[in-house]
Amino acid sequence: MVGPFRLTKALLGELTASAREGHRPVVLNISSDAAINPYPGWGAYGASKAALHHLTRIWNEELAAEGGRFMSLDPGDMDTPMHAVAVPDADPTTLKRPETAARELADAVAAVVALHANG
Amino acid sequence: MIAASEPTQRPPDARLLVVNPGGLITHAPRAGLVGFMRPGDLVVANDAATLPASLVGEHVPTGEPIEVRLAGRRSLAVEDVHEFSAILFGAGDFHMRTEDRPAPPLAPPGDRLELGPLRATVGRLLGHPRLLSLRFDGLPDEIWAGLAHHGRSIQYAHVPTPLALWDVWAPIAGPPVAFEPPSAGFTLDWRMLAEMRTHGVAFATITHAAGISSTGDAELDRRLPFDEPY
Repeated sequence: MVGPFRLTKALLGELTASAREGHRPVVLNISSDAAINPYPGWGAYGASKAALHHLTRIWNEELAAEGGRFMSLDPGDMDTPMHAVAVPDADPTTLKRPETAARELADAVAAVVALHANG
Repeated sequence: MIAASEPTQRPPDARLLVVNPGGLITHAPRAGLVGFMRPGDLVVANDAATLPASLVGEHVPTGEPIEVRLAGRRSLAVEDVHEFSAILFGAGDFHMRTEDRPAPPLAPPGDRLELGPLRATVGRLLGHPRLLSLRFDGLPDEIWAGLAHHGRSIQYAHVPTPLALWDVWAPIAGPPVAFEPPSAGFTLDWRMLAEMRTHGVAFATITHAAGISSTGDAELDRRLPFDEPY
C-alpha cells in the first residue's frame, strides 16, 4: 500500500502536466478478488488490496478536475508462479494466461481513454 | 530571515511575501495566495522535480573520500544523462557548512571516480579545480538507476534532519531534472490549484532545471547560476 501511494504521489505532477498538454493520463492499479472476498490467512494481502482499491476510487474523484483518471481492476486468477504458491491445488489449465490478462487490462485502459476523450 | 531548519517545506503557517505595485512589502499566509489573483490571471510554475544530485564516493587515484554534487546538464532529454558538470567536495558531509569542508583531491582529466554503483571519468576542468565535467559509464537506464539508488538530494547544514527525496519535491513536481528544488513550487498544492480554477485563474507549468545554490567557494559562487536547461 505504501509503495503505490508513494509512487502515485511522485508521479502526480507529471501526470497532471500531461493532462494540461491535452493527453489523457490513466493510472491502473492491479487489484484482486481478495480486495472484496475475505480469505483466511490473507489478511495483509487482502487488506492492502482493499485499501488500494478504495484509495484508487478516491484519487479518481480528487484528480478528475486535474484531468487524471484512476482505475483498479482485478485481472482474475492467472497461471503465474505466485498463484501456484498461493493456491497449490489449482488446475493451471483453468487459469487465465498472463498475456490474456495483460491484453484485457490494456483494452480497459484504452476504453477509459476513449471515454475520457469523448466526455 | 527565519532559517528553514526543518525538512518540511509546506508548514501550515508558512508565509507569503507580498510586494504591492508601490513596492510596499507585507506578509500574508501562504494559503492566501489565490486571494491576490484576479480572474484571467495566469500562474506559471516550474514543475522540475529534484534529482538526488549528491553522490558520495571515492577518488580512485588517491582513495580519498569525495562528494560530487551534480550541477548541470546539456539538456533535459532522458537519454542525455552521461555527461554532467559537477562540483567536487572533500571529506565530510552536509553537517559541515560547505565553506568549511576540506578541499577535495585534485582530479585532473581522466581520473576515475567511484560513486556507489556509478563509475565516472573526469572529462575536463571548467575553469576551477573543483568544477569539472563528468562522464558516467553505462547505459542511460543504468545511470538513472544508480542515481536513484545511491544519490541523495543535496543537503544543507542549517537543516539538521536529512532531507529525503520527497522533502524536496513540490506537489506539482514532474520530471526529475533540477539540482536543487525550485522552491517557489512549494507554495502550491492541489487544493490551491482547485481554488485557482474556481476563481478563473489559469495554471501552466514549465520545466526548468534549477541549479545549485552554493558551492562553498567564493570564486565559484560568483559564477552562479550555471547554465540551466529548460
